[in-house]
Amino acid sequence: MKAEETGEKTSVASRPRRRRIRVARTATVLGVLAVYVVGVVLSTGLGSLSAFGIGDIAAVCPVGALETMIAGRIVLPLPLIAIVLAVLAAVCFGRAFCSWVCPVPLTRKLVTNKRERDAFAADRKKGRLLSKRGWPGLGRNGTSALGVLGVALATTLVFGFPVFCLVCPIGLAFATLFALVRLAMFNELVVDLVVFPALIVFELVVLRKWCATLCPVGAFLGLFARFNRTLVPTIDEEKCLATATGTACDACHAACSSDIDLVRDAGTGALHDCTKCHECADHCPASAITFPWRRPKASAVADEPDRTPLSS
Amino acid sequence: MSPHEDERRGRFSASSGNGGLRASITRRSFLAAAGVSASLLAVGGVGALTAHGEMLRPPGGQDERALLAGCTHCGRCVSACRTKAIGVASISDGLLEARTPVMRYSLGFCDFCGDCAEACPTGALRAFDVEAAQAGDVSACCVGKAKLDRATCLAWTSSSCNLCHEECPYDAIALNADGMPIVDEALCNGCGVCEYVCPVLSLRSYIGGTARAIAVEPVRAKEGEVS
Repeated sequence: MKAEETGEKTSVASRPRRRRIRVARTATVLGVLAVYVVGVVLSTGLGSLSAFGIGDIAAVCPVGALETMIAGRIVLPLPLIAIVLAVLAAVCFGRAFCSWVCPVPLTRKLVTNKRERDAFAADRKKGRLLSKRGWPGLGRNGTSALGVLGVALATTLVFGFPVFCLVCPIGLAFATLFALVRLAMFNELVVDLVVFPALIVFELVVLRKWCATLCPVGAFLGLFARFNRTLVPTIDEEKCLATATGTACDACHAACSSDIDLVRDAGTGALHDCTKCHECADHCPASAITFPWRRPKASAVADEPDRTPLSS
Repeated sequence: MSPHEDERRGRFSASSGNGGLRASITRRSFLAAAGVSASLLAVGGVGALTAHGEMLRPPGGQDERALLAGCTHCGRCVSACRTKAIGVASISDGLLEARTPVMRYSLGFCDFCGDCAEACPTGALRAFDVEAAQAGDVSACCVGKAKLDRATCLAWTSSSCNLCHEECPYDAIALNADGMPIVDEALCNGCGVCEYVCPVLSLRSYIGGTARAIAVEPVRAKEGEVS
């Protein structure tokens, strides 16, 4: 029964077997936005993902922290601590921020990760991938995003203000919400109400693979996600159709918004891009994928460099 | 070893296409990244060229360069202001000024509590001596200077109003010999109470516009005069 199902790859890939994690992800993202709106309305000083906290204790977005310190040519304690916290979060949870907190993927598509998945699938079909692996430790998609981060920091150094923060879709999403709240509270009708959403839509329509290949925040997190050992998607080789029976399944790869092939990307560092969205596990027809708290010792995990000789 | 295990060890497989370590980006990703980089340069250039420094900033934010360098547009200062005097600039005020905090004295006034500067984590708003500022020490903190428009002022045109003189917490608005209000700029710290209470827009609503007869304007640090 399951073998017949996997014969139609697209229909399997588009029908998730479980929706609970997807619902949970949407809930956390909306929750973050709701907390922000409440904070604005009640004047609690809470803040947005750019910077949030209570009183004089606040965390700052790591890219924002870097940009403001570079722009102001000054080292400040709070942004520095924020960067350390972001690094720790990346080590503990990989790029989970991308799927569970950031409003951008939700803005793109409320239910599935379709846009990026489809863009990757189109690239693969047209043979556009230069190779299957990334630079060691960078993951397949990390290179271009790191380039954007580098240019963002360099332009900030040159011009003396945080250049990327002006157009960051995360910031623009919160700014749109903020403008709406001020419209409701103070009748402030400003052109921002139109310009910010238009800018976000433009960025996400033109740059379909923003999250995986261009976002500098994701690139920063990805730099340290290489040390992440918890909640890494792991295949049970006895259940997986590809490893156990040799069937060409590809359901997890097709579902992944970061274009990770859990079966074939062994040792390539592709797992650094994993945003813990759980779509692979939700789409696996054999329920072979789990997210264990600690990575099992066997090298059946798609990130360990493969050391067994071929000729065994 | 089953054949599909060769697939898994992709880097040794002949079918992977590229033997050794090679950066893996598509042509499209490279072009997209290059396009984004060029856009960032353009944004930086436009922002740098169009910055005009004529916004009325919260207390502690008078160094315009430091504010523009440090502001991440998080909105914590706006949210922290207990008198609701801080708003945000619109993108129509400038690319660089968009989403940065500005004083909106039509909605509130500044009591120099310092919560905004305390809330700012990146040094865009610098801390100041709260007690000295609240006591009226202009050198401790000065948001701007009040400027009175005699053409629309009710007192100057019809001797029918004294509100700014009565309400000013720092006695910075005195009445001249004819009973007309005059701003003493040495004492004015830009708290905005005068602008907040000025009734010109309601009692003279037929004149149109959103400017009250007295309004606080930023002090240009370079020339040291009110703009």
